[in-house]
Amino acid sequence: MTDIQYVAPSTLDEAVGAYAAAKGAARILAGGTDLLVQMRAGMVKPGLIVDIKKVAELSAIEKTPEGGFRIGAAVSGAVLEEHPTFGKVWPGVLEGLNLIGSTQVQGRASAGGNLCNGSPAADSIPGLVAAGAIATVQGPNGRRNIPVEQVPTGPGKTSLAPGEILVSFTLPPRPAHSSDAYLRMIPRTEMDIAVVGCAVSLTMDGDTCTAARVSLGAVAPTVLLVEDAAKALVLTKLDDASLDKAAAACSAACNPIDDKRGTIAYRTKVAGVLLKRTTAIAAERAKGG
Amino acid sequence: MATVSMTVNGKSVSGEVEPRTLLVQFIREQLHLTGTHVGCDTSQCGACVVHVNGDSVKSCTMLAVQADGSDVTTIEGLANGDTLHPMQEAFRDNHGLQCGFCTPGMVMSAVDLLKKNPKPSEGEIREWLEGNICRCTGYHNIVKAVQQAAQA
Amino acid sequence: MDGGRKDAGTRVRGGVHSAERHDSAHKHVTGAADYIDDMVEPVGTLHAYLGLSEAAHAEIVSIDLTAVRSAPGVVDVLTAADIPAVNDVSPVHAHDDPVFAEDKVMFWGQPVFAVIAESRLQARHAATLARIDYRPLDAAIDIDAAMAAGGDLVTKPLKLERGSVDKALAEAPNRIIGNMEIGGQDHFYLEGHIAFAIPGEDETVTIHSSTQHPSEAQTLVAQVLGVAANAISVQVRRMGGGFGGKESQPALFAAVAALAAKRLNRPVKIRPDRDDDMIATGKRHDFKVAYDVGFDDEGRILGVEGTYAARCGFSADLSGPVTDRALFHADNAYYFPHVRLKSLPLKTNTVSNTAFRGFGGPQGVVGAERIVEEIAYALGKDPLEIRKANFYGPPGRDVTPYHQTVTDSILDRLVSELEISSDYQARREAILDFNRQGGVIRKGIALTPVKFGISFTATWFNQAGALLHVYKDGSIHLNHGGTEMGQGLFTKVAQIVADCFQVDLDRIRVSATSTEKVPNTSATAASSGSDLNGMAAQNAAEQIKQRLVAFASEKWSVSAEEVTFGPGGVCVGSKTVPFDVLVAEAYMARVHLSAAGFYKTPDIHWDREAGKGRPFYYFAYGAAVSEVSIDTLTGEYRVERTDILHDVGKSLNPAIDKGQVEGGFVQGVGWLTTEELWWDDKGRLRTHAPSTYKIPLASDRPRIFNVALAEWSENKERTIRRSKAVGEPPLMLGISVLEAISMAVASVADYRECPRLDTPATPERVLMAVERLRAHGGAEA
Repeated sequence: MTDIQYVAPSTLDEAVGAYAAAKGAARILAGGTDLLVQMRAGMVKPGLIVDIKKVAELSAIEKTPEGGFRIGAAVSGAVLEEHPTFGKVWPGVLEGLNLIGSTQVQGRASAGGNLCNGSPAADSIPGLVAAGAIATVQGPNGRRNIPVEQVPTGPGKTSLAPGEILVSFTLPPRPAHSSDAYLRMIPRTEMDIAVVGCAVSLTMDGDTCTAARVSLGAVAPTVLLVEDAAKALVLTKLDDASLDKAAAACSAACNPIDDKRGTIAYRTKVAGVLLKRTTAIAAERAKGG
Repeated sequence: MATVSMTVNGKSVSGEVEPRTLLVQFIREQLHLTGTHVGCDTSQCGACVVHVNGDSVKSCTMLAVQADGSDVTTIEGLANGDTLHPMQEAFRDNHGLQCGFCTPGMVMSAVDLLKKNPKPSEGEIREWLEGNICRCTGYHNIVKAVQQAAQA
Repeated sequence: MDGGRKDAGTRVRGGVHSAERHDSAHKHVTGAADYIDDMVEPVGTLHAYLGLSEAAHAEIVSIDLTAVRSAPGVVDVLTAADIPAVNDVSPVHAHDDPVFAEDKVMFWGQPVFAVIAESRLQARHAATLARIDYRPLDAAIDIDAAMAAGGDLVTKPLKLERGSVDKALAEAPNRIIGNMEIGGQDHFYLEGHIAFAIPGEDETVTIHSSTQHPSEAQTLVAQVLGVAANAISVQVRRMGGGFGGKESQPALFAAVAALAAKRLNRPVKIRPDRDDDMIATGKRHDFKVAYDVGFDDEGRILGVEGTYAARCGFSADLSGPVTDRALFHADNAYYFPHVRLKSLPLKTNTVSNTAFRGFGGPQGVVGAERIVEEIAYALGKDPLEIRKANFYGPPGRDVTPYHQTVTDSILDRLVSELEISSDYQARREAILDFNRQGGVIRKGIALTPVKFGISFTATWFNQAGALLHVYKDGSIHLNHGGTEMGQGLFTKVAQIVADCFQVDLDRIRVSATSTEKVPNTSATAASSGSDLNGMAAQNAAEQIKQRLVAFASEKWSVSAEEVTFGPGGVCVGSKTVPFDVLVAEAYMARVHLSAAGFYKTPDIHWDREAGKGRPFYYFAYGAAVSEVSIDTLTGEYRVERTDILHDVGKSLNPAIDKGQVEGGFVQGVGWLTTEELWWDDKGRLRTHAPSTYKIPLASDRPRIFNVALAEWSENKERTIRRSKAVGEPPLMLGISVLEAISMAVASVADYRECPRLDTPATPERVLMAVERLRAHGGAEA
């Protein structure tokens, strides 16, 4: 057995320095819900664990000058839940984040960890993709920003360069009458990752949808941004024909792996159903807001 | 090896651990507090729930070094001397247990629920307890026990 | 709550029929109850971990354990070559269940070696370092593949036959031929397998084993080590759940721990991680049932032919009696005038399946309920009507396929009481109305009965022993052959002894089950724990009581009839002597205050070759009504309400019995709905953790859950205090949920087609069934 080192730096620069210096032998510990399990199973054998929970920026929730939100990559669902306004503006993002595991895991699991783990079925990601969130990463060569949907590149893989740490997510300011929703299908209510997850973010003008983003989880090797589905919704009154078209676009976007979590046929069917239901919830919320 | 110090059930403790040592291992193997159980090894069953700084945590999802400086309560620290915590009493009196293996984690989790939500609905109780698996009881008496404790 | 506690003096605290709490309840809520992994480890304790195969069926070309041996902390590595005597832990002595694979591996996850190290983590990591080369052989993973490969069996099949089934089917006005797949189930006891062996002098070793069957572990460990049974002591105070998964399976772990402990002369503990526990140990058998039923226009069954094919895994294990019991329950509660049933215990390259609550019976019962559904949908009737029309009845309609006469059926009364108390008819009408509106959400309701045969079908297992000491201070030590796994057996048996002596329950201490105290015990299985061990303990108590009566009548010169045990003490003629005073005096007078009790179930016999006999002493009954909602666009469902009326005879402890009913029901619902075992094409089990294998959670409990015991029921047979067994039968109450889901599915085709919903009825299966029925032209009502 190799010896493991553990560091819990208090600044981002220290964290990036330690992480980059370990040259691939290090792992980031945020909530620990995935890393510690993988370590026990011998799937990963890190030489260094970098605990980022003490880095202030990674645990911060703040308003951006533009009126959006920036949430630290290590912020847990439980913490975000207690924020006075976030859940009102982004109920769908919060729904996804709160679905990661059970309560005692929620207290620790973060969207950043969920994203970096690279699971196509990560519950917190479709909401961020539909929101148009931008991920900020920092590495030895400085900072850069990338749309969230470009972070995962395949199961267990991300586009982060060696030594880069995910810092935060920036969510754009919201026009009036905008909202979002996340729904997922699993064989049971809780405690698992989705068989299909669907997030929809909408802006409404009266009964007309003026902007939309649609994201699907667990139906392809990475979380998908389904632009065809969004197009089918924009400038419609979300009537049955538009919803059918958007649902068909979702089903068409599915490229699932046929594994124990549900067969291809089932995921494809359910993706369309979920699109309609998620859209209805988001629209209801948007009109109310 | 690293040195960790924490308060466990009101007592200051410290020990030498490897960085990989899980909090649950430290509690069971070094402190010999074996009421906290390991059920699934993968952060899902909830048999290992303890309180860290007042919040329920699955102690197999946390390294002992992460709990350095924390205030930890395990099932052994819940009762006040011979007087059971109302939640313990409720589980005992409502037959909210059979094999008992999930019981300590279930009780610790339920205590945290009532701290955060003193008068939970039945639905809220069920939802909160989703991170705690029981294979024996069908949860019927467990939910009843939490309801009784909420009235105590 | 504690029924007997309030009126001290008139009743003892914790006698029989009182709702006494579990004897370890206080310890469980304070974390003070010790499981094996909680025991203080003696200095020098080592830890073992298994190295598992990575091929479903293959020849072992070479094994290189160099890296394992040189890993940090490793003390020893064991393979088949290190076994001193017999490399077999088959519970039926079939010599097909090696501790370690020798030249061939028979399933993915089969133990090939064990590594012993200073710490568990070191052993676990070292176990991953082996390099084993395999030459793959053809593997049959499931039932279809096993049939296609020629249908090798792991054990001799059973045939039950009565009447002229071919003629009955040929002449029946209606006939349906169909198939059903019934999935398996992982036990998911919260405490996984564990054994802890402590070497003693000479050949002896003491093993703390999480086992339902200490005597079998003793026998098999003795066989592996090549020593007499008297060298092996197996002990278990409690298990963190068993459910049948710890009947035969613990022997492997006990053998590895004992072997290492004797070799190294140090204590050795073995506890697999949950994933390995799920991969390497047996589960409930999945079945494929092929049925052919003939019936009249009223829905009365005229003849049934059925074949029950089971995935048994690579070895016999308990698959013989499990598949037998499936046939014994293929009738559930229904009279089959002409019948032929055959079992097919198929050999597959998967883990060897084993006992699980119900022991094959539930699969038989599910098949019977499918037959009922087929008839109901064919005739356009409520399935409940078909059920009632076919219940066992008066002479002429009271003989089972195994030629046992059913003399104790209480289903007519039990079902009609439940039908009324649950308001079944009105709710069914309301649901039919609701479904007629044609919405996305559909509802279903079903009332299903269960009749379950009580006794081990291996007649010799129906025996039990107990050891009872009364100490001179009046305290009582009780030990018996049954094991405690949460079911409350220790509490119930102690209640029986308290009642015999009319002393309070807290005077009695129950000690860990031990092969040193009571020998040659049977597994705590087949729901028989309190029936057998309760009787044995009562027998021991009666022996001591008789000696005390004889002593008192002589000392105080009264007749034996004038000595009676009451809650306030022992009445001797006109005076009352406190129990402990009587005991102290008896000791001084050299009265023997210890007794070994024994019991064997009377009147049972079974001729397997002929398929005839009375394998069961009696039947336990029950029924449940469940109402569900399904989402016809996603297949998701939820249980809205369940009402249960269950028969435990005259309950020894209503609180514990109700707990068994509730827990059994929910476990049965899990089996039939969300718990799906999935092997990939290489034969790897891919559902080996709670993230992928879904047992019910708190949120899955029915929204409304009414559970009652049939308080008027008394066992017609002379069982312990006229009670009935309760462990297994309630599992089958979960079938009501499956049948209710099925009705909701059937609504999309106006109930004209049987949905033929296989199990587990996952949302995916439900959605596919909905679409299949719609595609068959199920024009909406």
